Amino acid sequence: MFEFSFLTALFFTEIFQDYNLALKIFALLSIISFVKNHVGTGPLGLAIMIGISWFILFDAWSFFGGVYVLYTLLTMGVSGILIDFFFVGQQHITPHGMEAPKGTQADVAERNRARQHAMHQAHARGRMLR
Amino acid sequence: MNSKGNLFIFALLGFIVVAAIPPLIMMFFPAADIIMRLILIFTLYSTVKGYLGSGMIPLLLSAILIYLLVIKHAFLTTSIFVFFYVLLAFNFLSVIIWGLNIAMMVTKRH
Repeated sequence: MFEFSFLTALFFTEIFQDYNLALKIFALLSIISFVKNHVGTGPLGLAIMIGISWFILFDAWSFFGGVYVLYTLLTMGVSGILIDFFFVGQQHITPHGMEAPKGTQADVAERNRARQHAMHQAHARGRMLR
Repeated sequence: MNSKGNLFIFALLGFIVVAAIPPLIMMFFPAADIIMRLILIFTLYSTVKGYLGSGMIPLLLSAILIYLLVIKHAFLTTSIFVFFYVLLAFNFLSVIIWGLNIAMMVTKRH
């Protein structure tokens, strides 16, 4: 039993280390590409590449690793899942079928009309009091 | 637990099932395994080449990545690749959430 749990832990540690290394390589590629596009590949560009790479990959990787994963996930559109979850999940079935989604153009126009009507009424009431 | 919490749990389960399909296909069909590994190799090499251009260093980095991701942990990498690069890129996960929501609402009505 102990041997099994030890081997399992070792297996997951190995996976984590391998993916960590792969992530570092991808982060290095991003840094190189970013500096190359902005500064070029001259001596200054190389110095900046080395500096940023050392800081991100070795000095503060525990922070930037998470940031890089988040950046990659957001680039791929993970926020779309949250939007779907919170907006599509709001829909309800009524006896007449699916309810129209909230926040459509017609909905906004109706709200604006109601607000303008209320403002006119408040204005007219103010004039009557004067 | 309210319906929102149920939807979250079912969506999570649905995502896990969808992510588990590619490794299962690779396990049962060796041809799919080879094709998927080839696709991963092409994707990795083109990604590295896109960042660094051609030369010795991109080849070396591609080789390291291919060893780590395609040879050592092919199943997990395929799962991540299909989930994030294919399903998420084509917004198929939205369809899953929408379908689950409809299914839950219909089940609740009956």
